[in-house]
Amino acid sequence: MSDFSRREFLAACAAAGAALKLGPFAMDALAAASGPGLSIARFKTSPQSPEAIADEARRLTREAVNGLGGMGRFINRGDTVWVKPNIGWNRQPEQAATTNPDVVATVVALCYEAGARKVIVSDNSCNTATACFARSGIQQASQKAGADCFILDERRFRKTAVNGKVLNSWDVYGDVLGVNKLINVPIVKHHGLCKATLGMKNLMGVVGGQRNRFHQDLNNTLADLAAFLRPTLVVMDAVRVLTANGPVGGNLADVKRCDTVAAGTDQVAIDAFGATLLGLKPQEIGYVVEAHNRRLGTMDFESLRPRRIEIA
Amino acid sequence: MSHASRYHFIHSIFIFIFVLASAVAMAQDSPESPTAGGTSRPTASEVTASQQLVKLFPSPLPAQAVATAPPSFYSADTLYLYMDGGADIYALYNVQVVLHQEFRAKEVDVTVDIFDMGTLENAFGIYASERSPNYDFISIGAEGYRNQGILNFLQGRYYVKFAAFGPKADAVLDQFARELSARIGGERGLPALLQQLPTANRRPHSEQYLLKDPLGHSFLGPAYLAIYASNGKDSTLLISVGANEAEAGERLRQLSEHFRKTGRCEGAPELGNGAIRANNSFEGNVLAQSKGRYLLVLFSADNSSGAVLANALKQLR
Repeated sequence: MSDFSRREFLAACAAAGAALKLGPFAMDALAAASGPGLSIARFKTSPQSPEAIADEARRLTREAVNGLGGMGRFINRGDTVWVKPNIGWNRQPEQAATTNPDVVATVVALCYEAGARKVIVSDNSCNTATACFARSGIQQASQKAGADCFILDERRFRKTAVNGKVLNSWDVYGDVLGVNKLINVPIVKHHGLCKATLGMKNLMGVVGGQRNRFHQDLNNTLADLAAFLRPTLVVMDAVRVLTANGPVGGNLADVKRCDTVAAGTDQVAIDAFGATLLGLKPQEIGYVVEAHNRRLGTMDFESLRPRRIEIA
Repeated sequence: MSHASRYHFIHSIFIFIFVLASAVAMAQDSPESPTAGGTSRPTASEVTASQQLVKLFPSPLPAQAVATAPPSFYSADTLYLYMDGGADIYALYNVQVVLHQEFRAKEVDVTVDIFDMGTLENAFGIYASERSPNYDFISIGAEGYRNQGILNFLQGRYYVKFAAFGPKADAVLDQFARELSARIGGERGLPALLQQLPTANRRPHSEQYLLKDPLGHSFLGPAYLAIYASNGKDSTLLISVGANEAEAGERLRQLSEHFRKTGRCEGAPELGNGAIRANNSFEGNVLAQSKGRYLLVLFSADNSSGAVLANALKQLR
C-alpha cells in the first residue's frame, strides 16, 4: 500500500470512528468514511445582477455538495430532513443577515433529488417571524423547491436532555428531534459578542427558552448544543458575508462578497474555515476552540485536505 | 377625541400591556439555565421612559404612514427577545428602554427602533461602535448615516435606527427621520469632550467612547479615543476619564506598572512632570500624561505624532 493510499485509509478509519460517536442525525459510518470532510466552492468573479448572483449561489451550492460526493452520501431514500438556515432577521438577502435563499432552495432540491420524502425548512427567528421568513426570501424560495417551510409554534418546544457540560436540559423544538437528518445552513457573519456567528451558533435556531442565558457562557453552551445535535451536514453560505455590526446587520456597507459556499461533515472545521473569511483566526472564536478541545471536530480545517473547486 | 390624543391614548394602553406582560413573563417557569439569574420587572423609570418614547412620534405620522402593529418595548433584560446576541452591546452601554414599531407608508414598510441610552455619552458610545469612517454620513441630529434602506442617527440620549423596504424607501426614511429628529429636539451635539481634542490630522468619524476595557485595559475605562494619521501611520489618542485627579493619577501609575512588567517605561519630561514614555512588543510606543481627571495616552506614538498628545494636553480643560 503506497504512503498516499495508506494515509487515506487511516483517515477513513478515523472518520468512521468519529461517526460512531453518533448524534441523532448522523449518517452511517460507511457514508461518513466514503468521502472528503470539507469541500469549498468559489466563483472566480463576482457577478452583479440579481439573476447572476442567484445562479452563482445555486451553482456554488451544488458544486460544494458534489465535492463531498453528492447529497446521496448523506440523504437516504425516504428520509425526513430538517434544513436549518438563518432566518433570524427582518432583512433582505443583500444585507447578508440571513442565509441566501438560493443556497437554501438548492439544498432542498438536492435532498429531494437524493430521495428525501420530506424536507422541512425553519428557524426560531429573533425578529417578527412572518417578516423574517418573507423578507429573507427563504420562505418563497424553499417552498418553490418543495419544502415545508413554516414558522415555529412556541408550544412545540420540549424540555430535552442535552447532557452537556453546562446544559443539562433545554427547550428544543420537538419536530427537529423527530427527523432523520439535520442539515445546518448558516451564513457567515460578524457577531458583536462572539466575533463570528457560523454553523454552531446557527444551531441556536432550534432551541427556545431564554436564549440570552446562552450568552452568559456562550462557548460551553454552543459546544454542548453542537455535541448534542451533530448535524448530518453543514452547508455554509458565504456568497455574501456580514463583516460588521452582526448579527443584526442592515447596512450594505458592512457586506462583502466572498462568492463561496462550503460544505462539510466536520462542524468545527467548517466553522474554522468560515472564520477566516471574516479575517479571523479560528482560535479567536471561543466556541470553535471549545468544540475543538472537546474533539467534536478539528480547527485545523486544512488537515482535512479540503476539496477546492474554482468556477470561472 | 382628536386623532393625536387617540394615538397617544392607544399607546398608553400598550405601555400598560407591556408592564403587565413583563410581570407575567417574570412569573413563568423558565427552563434550566447555565447560570442562575432572572429578569427584572420594568421599573418606574422604564415605564416613564417608554411613555416619553411614544410621544416622540409626530402626529400625523410622516409620509402618510400608519402603524401596522402596536409598539413593542424592551428593557436591557428583555432586548435579547428582539435582537438576540445583538442586545449585549446595548446592555453594555446601559440601554434604558427601546421602542420598536413597524409602519406602512403606501408601499413602503418602515421599522423604527428608538434606543433610550440614558445619556448622550452612552448613546454616542453605541452609535460610534456601529459606525465606520467610510459610511455615507448625513447632517441629522448630532450625526447620522444612511445606506440603501437604512438610516441611523444620534441625538441627545437617543440612538434612532430606521429600516425600510419598498419603492422610494429612502425618501420615506429621510422624511420620517427628520420629523422624528425635530420632535426629539434638544441638543444636537456630540459629547463635549470630543470638541476639545485636536482636529489636525484626526481621522473623521474615528472617535469612540468605550465603557469597558478600552484597548484591553480595564483600569482605563471609561475612555474616549480618536485616531490620528501622521506620515502615513495611525496613532490612537485615548482619554481615560477618571472621577477626579487622584483617580487619573492612579490610572497613570497602573499604566506605568503594566509597561514596566511587559516592556519598558521611563519618564517623558518634555510632557511635564509624571509623564511617561513606554513600549512593549504588542502595543508599540506609548506616551502618557494626566491632566486633572483625565489620563491621556497616545498609542503607536512616534516623533511626529507626539505633538498630538502635547496639543491635547493644552486644549483639554
